[in-house]
Amino acid sequence: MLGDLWKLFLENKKALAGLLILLFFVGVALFAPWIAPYDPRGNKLVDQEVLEESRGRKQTVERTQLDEFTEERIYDQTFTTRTKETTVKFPLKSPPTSKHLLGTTHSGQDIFSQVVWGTRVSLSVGLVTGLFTTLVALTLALSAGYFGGRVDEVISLFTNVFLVIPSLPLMIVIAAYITVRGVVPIILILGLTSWPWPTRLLRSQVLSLKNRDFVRVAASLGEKPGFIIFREILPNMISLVMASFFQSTMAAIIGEATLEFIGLGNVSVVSWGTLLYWAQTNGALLSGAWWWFLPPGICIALIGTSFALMNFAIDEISNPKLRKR
Amino acid sequence: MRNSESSKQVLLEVRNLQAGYEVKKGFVGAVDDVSFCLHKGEFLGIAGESGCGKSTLAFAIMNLLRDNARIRSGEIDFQGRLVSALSGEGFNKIRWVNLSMVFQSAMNALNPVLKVGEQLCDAIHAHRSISAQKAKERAQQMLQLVDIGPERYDSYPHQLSGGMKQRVMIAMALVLEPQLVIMDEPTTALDVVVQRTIIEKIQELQQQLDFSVIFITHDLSLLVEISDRLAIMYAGKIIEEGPAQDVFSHPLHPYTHGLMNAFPSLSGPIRRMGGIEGKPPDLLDPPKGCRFFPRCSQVMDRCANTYPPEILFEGDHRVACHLYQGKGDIQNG
Repeated sequence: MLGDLWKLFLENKKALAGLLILLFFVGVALFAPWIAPYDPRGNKLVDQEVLEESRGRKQTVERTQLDEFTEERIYDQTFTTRTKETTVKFPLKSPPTSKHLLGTTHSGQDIFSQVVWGTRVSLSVGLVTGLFTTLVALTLALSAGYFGGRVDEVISLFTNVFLVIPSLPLMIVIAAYITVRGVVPIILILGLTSWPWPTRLLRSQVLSLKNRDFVRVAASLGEKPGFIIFREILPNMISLVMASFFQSTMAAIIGEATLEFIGLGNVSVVSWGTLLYWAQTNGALLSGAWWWFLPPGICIALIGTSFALMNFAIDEISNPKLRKR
Repeated sequence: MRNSESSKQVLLEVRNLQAGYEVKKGFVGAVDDVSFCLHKGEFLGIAGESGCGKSTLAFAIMNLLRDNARIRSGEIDFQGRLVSALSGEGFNKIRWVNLSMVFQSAMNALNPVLKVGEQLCDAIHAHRSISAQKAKERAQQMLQLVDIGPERYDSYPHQLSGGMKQRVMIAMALVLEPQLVIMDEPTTALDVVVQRTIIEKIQELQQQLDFSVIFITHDLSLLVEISDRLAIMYAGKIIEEGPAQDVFSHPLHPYTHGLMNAFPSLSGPIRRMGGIEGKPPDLLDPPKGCRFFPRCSQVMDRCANTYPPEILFEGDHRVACHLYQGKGDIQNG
């Protein structure tokens, strides 16, 4: 059955286009070291060439006769290497050239390499957070919606409390206090603030499905709750689950960019967000250095497009009524 | 009158069943002190207007009452076993295996994202551990039984017509070969032509597979045609029950009279339809005496105060009405 759905997915033009865009970015993220021409943090190219190696004379320092047949000697010997080091400094704030496809930053780093390496961080933050959020939201929604009663009350209470907390200010506050370096704190912050909305959304869908007649029939057949949840209810809301996955992934990518952009992330990490941060602090917008601030934005937009395209397709596939025949 | 001999084996016996809905203001007695007997292979029709407790009765028998609905008292015997005392788990073992149900709206009773064949297989697998291949064969066989080609196994519910969906639901109810099938208004959403084919199919299957049917509907003319026995419900009570033809041609209760006058006959003179004045009582606070007395054309003094005893006439035709006090063939107060 899953194989059939996968085939339907690939036959769908929108889905295929979306999938290709996503695969392109995943490929860029995976093969970043081979794609990026330079180190994303370096601002010069250092080339070393060994011209001459000379070996000094051996000079015995110590000599011991152990016995009649064995002798031990300790030498001193010097090696001299003559090396030619060529350092090519990258130009600062250069517009695109053949050497630097997207120009360079204020400190001379290659922007193209930064965009390539940034894909890795931005995409993984987005996908990990999206997956985490969706799994948490789905678990909570299914338990709250299906079991109802106390379970529902407790889950709904927490969801509602978290829902009214404005997420961006909370993100800023948490980000300001966390001292751990790297992207893990960003993932945690984004994950913590993004689950309430999809939880509410999915819960109401579970509630509505739970009271449909076919679920009633399944229950009267004596099916176990697990069967009813995963065979009867879940397949009816796949499109919503996937939509909320895409939405939270997108929100995480944008959220990461936002946090980095306002300088609350770790500015030494290379991501689309830090790219925008450095572009902003160095007046790229004012000086019209489009090659600096535009590429990260375009990448984010392309990922969004890819998700939207796949979402349309999943809508069509998961609902037999919308399938084209 | 295929199976009305009283020598027949009793399949289901409902004794003094009280069921209803717990609400803030009290208890809505949707089924109040209902007793009846269903024999093996019998087709019992239960008729009554909306809200008279027909569906509650069906769900109570199936042990499917939900939320605030519950059985207050009474006993249900099925195949000589007191099933009303069974736990939820215990009832799960016999529901659908021994007694099954066709729900009101087939449109919603099928899962829209699963193939109809798979849903039949799920029903089989819920109670029988057989191979997937065997289950599929059985499902296709069931589809064929209700005149749906086995190639429809791979169809999704929206690709079937309303009548086909209802027939799939009937196949689903019969897939485990139960002895009793309760049909809760199975043809309400269909037009008369489709309704007719479904009814004929049910009758044909009943003769073929020999199961008993409780058929619930508000469509009295339909019931008269297809049932062996007919029970008329009013405001939670069975007010008259007997062989279908008997009830039709000699209605005893004034309410049954009213109902029979309320639908036109195809042959015979054209006349103005008579209705029944007023509206059914509030089940939260039903009248103390006969439930029907405020609307009854032949009301007497005692109707308002005492609920009429059940009076049994020849041919197992019983009625609960003061009009017949002392006139019954057998008195069973």
